[in-house]
Amino acid sequence: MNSKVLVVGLGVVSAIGRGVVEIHRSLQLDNSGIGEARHLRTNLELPVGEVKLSNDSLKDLLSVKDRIPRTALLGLLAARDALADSTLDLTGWRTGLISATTVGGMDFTENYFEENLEDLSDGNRDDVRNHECGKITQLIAEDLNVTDFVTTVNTACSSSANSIIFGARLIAQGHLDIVVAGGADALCRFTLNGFNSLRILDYRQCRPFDASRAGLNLGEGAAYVVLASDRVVQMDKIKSLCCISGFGNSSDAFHQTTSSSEGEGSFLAMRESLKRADLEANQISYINLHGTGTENNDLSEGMAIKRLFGSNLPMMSSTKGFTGHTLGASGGLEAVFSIMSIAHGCVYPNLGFENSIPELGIIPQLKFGNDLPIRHVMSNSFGFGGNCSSIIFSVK
Amino acid sequence: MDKLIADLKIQIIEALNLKHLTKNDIEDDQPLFVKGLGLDSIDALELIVLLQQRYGIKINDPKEGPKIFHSVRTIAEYITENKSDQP
Amino acid sequence: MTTYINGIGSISSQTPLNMQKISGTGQAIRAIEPDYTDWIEPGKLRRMSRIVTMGVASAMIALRDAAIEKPDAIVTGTGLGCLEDTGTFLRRMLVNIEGGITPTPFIQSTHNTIGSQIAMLLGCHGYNQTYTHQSFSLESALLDAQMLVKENEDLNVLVGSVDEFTVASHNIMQKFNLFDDNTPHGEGAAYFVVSATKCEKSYAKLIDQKTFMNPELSQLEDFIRYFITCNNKRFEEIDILIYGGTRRPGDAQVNLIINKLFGKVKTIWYKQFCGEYLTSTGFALWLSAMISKGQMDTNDILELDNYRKPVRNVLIYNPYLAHHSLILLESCRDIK
Repeated sequence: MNSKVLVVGLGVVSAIGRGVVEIHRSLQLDNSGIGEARHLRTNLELPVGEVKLSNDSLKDLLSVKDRIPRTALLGLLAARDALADSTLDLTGWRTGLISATTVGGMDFTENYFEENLEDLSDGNRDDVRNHECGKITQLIAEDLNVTDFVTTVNTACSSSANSIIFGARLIAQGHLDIVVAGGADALCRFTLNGFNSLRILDYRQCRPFDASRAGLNLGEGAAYVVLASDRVVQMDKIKSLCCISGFGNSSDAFHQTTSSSEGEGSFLAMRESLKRADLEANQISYINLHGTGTENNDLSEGMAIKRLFGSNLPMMSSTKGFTGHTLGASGGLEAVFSIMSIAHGCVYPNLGFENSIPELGIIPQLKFGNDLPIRHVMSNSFGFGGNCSSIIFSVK
Repeated sequence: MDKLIADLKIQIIEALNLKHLTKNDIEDDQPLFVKGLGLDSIDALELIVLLQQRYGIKINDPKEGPKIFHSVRTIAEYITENKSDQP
Repeated sequence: MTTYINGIGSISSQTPLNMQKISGTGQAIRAIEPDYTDWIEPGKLRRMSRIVTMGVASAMIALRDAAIEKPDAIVTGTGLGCLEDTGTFLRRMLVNIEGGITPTPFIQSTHNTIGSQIAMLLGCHGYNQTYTHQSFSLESALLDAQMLVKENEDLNVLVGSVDEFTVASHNIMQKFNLFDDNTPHGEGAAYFVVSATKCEKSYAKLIDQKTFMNPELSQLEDFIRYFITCNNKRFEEIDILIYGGTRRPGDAQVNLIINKLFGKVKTIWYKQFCGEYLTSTGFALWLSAMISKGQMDTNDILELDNYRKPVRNVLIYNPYLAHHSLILLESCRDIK
């Protein structure tokens, strides 16, 4: 990479809280946010990682009066927090927003369809005005007053990881000075029913990387990182948390919903991230796994890790037992957790684990670990369609 | 049984969007998954819904799928053994 | 960040050798679709919805055109993604009251399905990305593709866009007064193979592209002039303007400015040929590439009879509501 890419701000909201302080405490105390849905209107009785705030509460926090989709409310909260955390004044800098979402304004759209199923040309157009993924991003861009470059990524579960990667490349190549990158996804009936139709949801709390794992729990949330060039950090004299030292994006090219048994896409993404970071595998301190809790993902990801790391496995854990799988936001959320891991010198536990997957023999991190020399953290995000991404965050 | 097998072939072609095939292209005992027709896990889920909606049979554990859905004949036999009172 | 367009593939409402204006044909125009079995095995087609087949087929056409078997990266832009399957799954979910739903439309509804299916068909493990940012979706994909080529000059990147027409989306979108008889609701797919290397197949040099949101009209002229001059071109050197303005009342003021700026430049109002959809600049880019290579004559398109001047510099400008984008191309032909 040409110019160094530094992380200078974090913003996050999830089932286990808002902001890094609250979330760190939840992770430290094994406080999972998975439980019954209180705000999502659904007939399905499935555990989910729901943000513990209604849309009205979110609007109050944001001082927003317009009716906008839940994904936008979550995104606005996290993006504002991230920018505030960075203490940056954007004036005079070329700034971009790269945001990701898979559901966009679907919570409003599914209500619109429900009310107007007989004739879709009936109904209030304001209810579908913000359906598109790009509209959600636009709402956030206008709120942050970012105008130089704005776009939206949608690569399923690796979406916000890819937002961060693109943001890093834009800075490295000198197109932009500052990028707010990440993503947001709210729970909605569309995705809950979609995943349910695939029979990959667990009716209990998920157990990533466990032999008895039976599926994932859906979650919701939003997370953004503020990236800046070295020049911005020097000139504005702001703190930086770590740098993005490497990343990889590969396609598994195997199946729409299933990963290949040897985890080829995952393997290639992780390997590429190491190469870009100019690191050997044994220099990775900790992996934040994609670890959804499905039979297929965890086995495939585990195989890929063993191929790459051999017998020198780093500490690793999936944090989805806390937050659920937040789809388009998961890469962003887990990027923030990875950065927190470096900042605190800690590793977070993998909830729900009792026995290793027989084919792997991998035992993830079972307890919160502190005072650890965490120098390089790899965060994995692997999506439907075989879109696999991996990012390495390193001490600066 | 023969009529059920013939009906099933048409229903499978429709449910799985196998537009390039006719019922004469599917043999009664031909393996449906992996080799044979090359169906996959998504198709298995589609067939589970087909059995539920057309024949009122619920398969709770998708892992039973490979045995039940081995061929059109095994599906027909399973339906015959398990179906509730359906027109 | 110069890249060359070395292969193109398009599925639209036009056939290349017989471009016909579609204005006055109604509020919607469908693409002319090939026999997809020419490009995709029947067994694989079954898992592809219409938008995916359009995208995949365009991609295959572009790859064949560039004589590339497998690209090194695949970057896709789509404004609205897979609408038909989204609508199908929504309806079934609501009608079945969240019970007994088949998964296929759900898995086919994800925006990245198009790029993923291309990768699966080709066994391509390279970089794979999908952008979905309204009428900047293709432009974002193009920027990413150019950046990939800058990072590694050996890459052949497949980049393109697709959006589909559905009755359901039309019923909803027409509430926003986007379509009329002059500018029907359109659809289309366009893919390109770009690389750092010019070759005999090259259509055009992709010089630069820029997106800007909601510009003040008073700044528009400056934006466009600056874009042209910072790419070492003079304003007077633009031979053709491929313009995405329409006769909608909202475009009236922009049209006036463009008419003032480019009054003497041959202008093709391209949405009269492809209709309005979020990734219509894909069609515009395909058209520009064809014109740049001399495979299409602007006089024929514009039904003009005057002197046929070879085209060197093409500017695409699409003002779609608050989203404005510019793309600048230069012909690869040896033009004196």
